[in-house]
Amino acid sequence: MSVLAPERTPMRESPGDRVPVTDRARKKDFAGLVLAVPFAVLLVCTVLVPVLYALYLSLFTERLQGLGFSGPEHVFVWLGNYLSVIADSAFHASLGNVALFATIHIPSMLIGSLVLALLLDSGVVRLKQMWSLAVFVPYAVPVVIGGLIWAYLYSPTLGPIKNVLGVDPLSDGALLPSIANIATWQWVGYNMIIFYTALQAVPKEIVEAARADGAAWVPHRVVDQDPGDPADDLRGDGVHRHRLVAGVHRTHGAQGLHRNGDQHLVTEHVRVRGRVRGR
Amino acid sequence: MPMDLAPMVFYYRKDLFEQHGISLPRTWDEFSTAAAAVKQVDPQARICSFPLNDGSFFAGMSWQAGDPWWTAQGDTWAVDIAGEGTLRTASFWQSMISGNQVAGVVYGSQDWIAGIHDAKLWGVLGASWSVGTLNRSIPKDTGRWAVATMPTWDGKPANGIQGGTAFGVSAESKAPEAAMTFLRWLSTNPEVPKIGSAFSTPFPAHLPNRAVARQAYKGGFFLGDPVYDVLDEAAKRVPEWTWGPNALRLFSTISDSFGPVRGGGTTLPDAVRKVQQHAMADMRARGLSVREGKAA
Repeated sequence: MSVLAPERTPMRESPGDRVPVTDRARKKDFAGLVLAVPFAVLLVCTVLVPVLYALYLSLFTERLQGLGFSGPEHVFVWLGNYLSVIADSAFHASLGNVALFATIHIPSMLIGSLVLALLLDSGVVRLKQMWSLAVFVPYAVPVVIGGLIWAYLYSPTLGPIKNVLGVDPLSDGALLPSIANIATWQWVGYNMIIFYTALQAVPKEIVEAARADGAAWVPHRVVDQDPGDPADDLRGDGVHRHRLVAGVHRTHGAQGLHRNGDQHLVTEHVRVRGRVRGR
Repeated sequence: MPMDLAPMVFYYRKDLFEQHGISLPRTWDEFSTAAAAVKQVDPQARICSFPLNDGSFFAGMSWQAGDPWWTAQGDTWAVDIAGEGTLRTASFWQSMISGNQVAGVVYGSQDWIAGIHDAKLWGVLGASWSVGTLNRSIPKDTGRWAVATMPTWDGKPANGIQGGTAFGVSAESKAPEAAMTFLRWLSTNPEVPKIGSAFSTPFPAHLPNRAVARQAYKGGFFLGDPVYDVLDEAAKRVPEWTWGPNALRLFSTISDSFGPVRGGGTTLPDAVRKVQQHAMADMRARGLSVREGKAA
């Protein structure tokens, strides 16, 4: 894009070139339409037409007569099919089941993914890629395989869960949470990636400024990525490292030495390292 | 075009039954006694499983009891799912479930396979095709199992059927004659049952093919009576039965209604009465002419 942009600007300024430009623009519009055609055709044929046809069919029912051997007759019933579904107690029960499922599944999945994303982002976690892959893998497992795995785990005779928890995960009361657990297992990694990506997009300056103002719960990643971060010296010390680095950072930020205080940081860190090693 | 049928039979661990002096039950009363005896020998073991999720299994059990669920009468279906024989069947299995005399595992599931493998299930109420399941699931159990016809209610020979195959050609078919030629080949050509005989006991409706299947089955897995003798005898005992137009829908209604039985939420006879109501309402909603109760 940066190569094309300067080329186009002078052409527009020259009056003699105006007509070809509009032609080109028209051609471009046309090209866009042509390129959109495959998508539009597929959308219309495989989504819109079937949906409309299903809506049309939903206004009809099949009626048999006598023993039913004469074959069905299509009868137009207006909204009769919808009314009989709304009046069906099994439909009400299934709505309740879905609502209960969502109440268990959605909060546990979102909270789980957020916690995992914050952990990944915090720098507390070593082998980040391995962990994110491990959490993400259930999403890539085909649903049928996942179902089989959980069927073995849940089985009251073969599976370990009944023995470990003392609760039969397939008993009437535990069944719905057990199903919600499978869905959460499958989706938590996917949502974690989304949260993690969003966290990565937070500008570094904002995080640093927040930390400078004394915010304690700011992701520590920024410190890690600081060029020349002396914390590198301390790699391997895990949690200690980050807690100490954050402490040092905050002190200098408050003194307005944030960007220029690298020298201080280094000295501080030498001290810190000495302390950690001295343990 | 009929192709095959699947008479129900009782597969049991003849070695264990004999070892512990339990005689083969010939009536359902004896079956209940034998179930208690099995549980006494091994508190973890059960005589068989009653799968609450399988409408075709319960239909097969009820078929034996001699009260057909549907009968075509003139231009009307007589629907009798909560008939006397079916309710007797339901009450019997309810007492077995309440007394914790039968397992509840699903036929063919991993728990079920583990059960027959570890001698926690000493018997299987199955159909002719269960031979394939047993051969495949517990190949090392050769020489431990035997086959018998189903126990009866009163000693009078009667047997149920679980499954069977028949083909129809749609009225809209563009080549009905070609379809019939193929189906006739499938049902009567002697090469066809030989394919199935490699791993199970096909039971063709066409009698010359049944003889082919009997000969092609290599046998050796079961003790006692040859399996085809038992299947032939079972097939002879099957009473009159008609499948109604909503049979498959009814199977799922049965598993939905039987589900709460496990936790004590309902009983089998009550669930059967509910299934009858569902079936009536469903058939009426489809415009069929229905009448409740036994065929007059």
